[in-house]
Amino acid sequence: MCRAAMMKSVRVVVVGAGVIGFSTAVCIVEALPFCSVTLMADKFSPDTTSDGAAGILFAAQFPDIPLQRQKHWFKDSFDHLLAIAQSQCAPEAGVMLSSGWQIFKEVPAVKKPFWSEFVIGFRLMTDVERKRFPDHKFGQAFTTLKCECSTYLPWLEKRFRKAGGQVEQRKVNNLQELSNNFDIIVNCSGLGSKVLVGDTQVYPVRGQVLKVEAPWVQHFIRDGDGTTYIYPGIRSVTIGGTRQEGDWRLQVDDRDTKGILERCSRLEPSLNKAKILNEWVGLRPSRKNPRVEREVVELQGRLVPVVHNYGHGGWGVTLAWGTALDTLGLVKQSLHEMAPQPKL
Amino acid sequence: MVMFDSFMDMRVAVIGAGVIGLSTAQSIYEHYHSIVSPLTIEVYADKFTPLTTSDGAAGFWQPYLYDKGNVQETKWNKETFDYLLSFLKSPESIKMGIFLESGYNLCSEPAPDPSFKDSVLGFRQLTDRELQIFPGYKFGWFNTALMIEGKTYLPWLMEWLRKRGVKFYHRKIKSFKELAETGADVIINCSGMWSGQLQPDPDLKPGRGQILKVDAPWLKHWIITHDFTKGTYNSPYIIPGYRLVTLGGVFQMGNWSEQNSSVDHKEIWEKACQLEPSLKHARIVDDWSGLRPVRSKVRLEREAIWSGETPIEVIHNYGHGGFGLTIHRGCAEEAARLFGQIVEQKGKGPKARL
Repeated sequence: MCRAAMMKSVRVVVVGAGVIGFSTAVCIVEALPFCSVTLMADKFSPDTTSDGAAGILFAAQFPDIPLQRQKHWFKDSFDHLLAIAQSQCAPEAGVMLSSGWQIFKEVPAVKKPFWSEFVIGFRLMTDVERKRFPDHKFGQAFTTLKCECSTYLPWLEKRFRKAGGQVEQRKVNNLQELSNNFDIIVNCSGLGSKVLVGDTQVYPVRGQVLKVEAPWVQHFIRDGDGTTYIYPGIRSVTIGGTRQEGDWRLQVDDRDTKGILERCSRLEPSLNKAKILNEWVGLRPSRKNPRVEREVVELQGRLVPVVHNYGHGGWGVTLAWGTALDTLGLVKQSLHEMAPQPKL
Repeated sequence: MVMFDSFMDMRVAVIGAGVIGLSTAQSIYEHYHSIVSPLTIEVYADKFTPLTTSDGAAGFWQPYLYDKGNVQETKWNKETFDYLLSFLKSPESIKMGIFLESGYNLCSEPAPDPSFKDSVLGFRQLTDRELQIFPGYKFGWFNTALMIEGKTYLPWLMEWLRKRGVKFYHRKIKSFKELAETGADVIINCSGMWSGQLQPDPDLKPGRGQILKVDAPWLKHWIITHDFTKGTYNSPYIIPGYRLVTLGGVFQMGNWSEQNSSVDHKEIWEKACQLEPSLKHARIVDDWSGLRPVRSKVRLEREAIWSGETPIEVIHNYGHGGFGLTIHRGCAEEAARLFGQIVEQKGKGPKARL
């Protein structure tokens, strides 16, 4: 008896419609045609955390995840988006190449971070290039990608539905609610995991950004401290930001607005003349390490596999596809364990 | 004790209001308005922004790959780059239409480093990964250069000049004599493609170009391809501007037509889409054709043209081919230096008189 017949209509639910949720859902539905996949969430684009993010691909290093795995996450995400950037789909998917500079006030301990081999053309800035930033002693130049979720998420949704995925708008309060209707639960609920699965390690890091009209800005500029950055996008430039740990406020703070404009104009004086289009606040779903792992949970008397993919902090867009693939692997493992072994 | 000549005023007539004419007027004013007093500068042209050749050009600073021994031109190009770069610290740069942009020069085979490698920022060879993005190209360079959009820069220059009393006359000048007779002391010939009408120059020929302007704001890098069998700019290029992206790659020597050709349009569009697949969905907004004033080298020199008893002092500054915006400041400064020679000779400057 073939495996596909045994596997037919395994019901998978993906909770969360941000970049992690949709990337994961697309990976699953495209790889496992014998599963029925439903994406369920309270908020959809343009109201997710992903929508406001600039979406520049850039990584941090997490302390407890093997470096090799982190490299895979970054590389898989980068290669996936690069292929889109080079294709006809690029504008419809909201993906573009972006070159620029990351500058440091003090020379950092690690001059070539682990992701430098995966971006394009990574090198240290020349003296002449650094002259433009007199407060900064060191800099890196490279080309990376930008993925604008307000465009990318609808594109992913199209792709998800085309492959047979179902989308349901519903706030999930606990996993029990899902166990009747689904065989595998994939949790991509970001900051919501704090309540949904009771993860006390998840906390918000508040970020405020401005979107300005400055079409003459063609390069990204990022201060190595991660708090001041200028990211030119398709139709606007995102400037920011703030990193306020444990801060749950979603309202715009005028003091932050002032701070952002001051810091960014110092790096790029022409921004003084830019028209502000809008302001936005997002809560990065932060955690010491992203949680990409599976477990089996007893729900309403059944043992249900739950695969987690959340806690990406400010690196959601950067790691979405890579962690989605990783999650797909974990879903496959769960399926393997669920399936009755063929009798000889 | 320094004494001034009693006839210390001078009238300078500039022919041409493209980037060469306007920037030359600027350099002359900058260096001599306090030395020659009063210094009257007038600009005569039949075309003003946005209808000049400079306006139609993509506005990208990059000389031809190789200067063929014209080291003077390489020097003027670098001078222009450094001059424009210095404005980036100031918000004025937006009013001037200047901004940084990085990109790719692509070749089908390995080639020697270009003449401008030390002028631009962060010049380096392309990595294998980058070449994979551009199938069909085996070699190339990446660097950060400047954009200088004519449609913004020229109005800025005109305003700069107007504020300082420079007058503009919408008139086609038919001869140097015509201007000399009205009392011009020095004529600066910046008439570009049409210099031949003022004085025959068999070395000056049109290098016809055509471009498309498309709406593709997701593109942030310029891409210039080079085909050494076809010659400069006869190969696709994509240059994102302030609001629109310029697509091009036509350089037809000897073709005087300023009409858009649908054959060229189709070729430019198809080749650009091949080079950059994401363009497929870009909206085409405009077409434009222009004539690059091509010459074996830039004509930047003085000439005393005899008409009757007194010579007409002419400074020629034309023949900048496809690199007018790229070289304009270096040439303008040189023209101002030549003007200075004339000022000295006429005894108009501060000079001790015995």
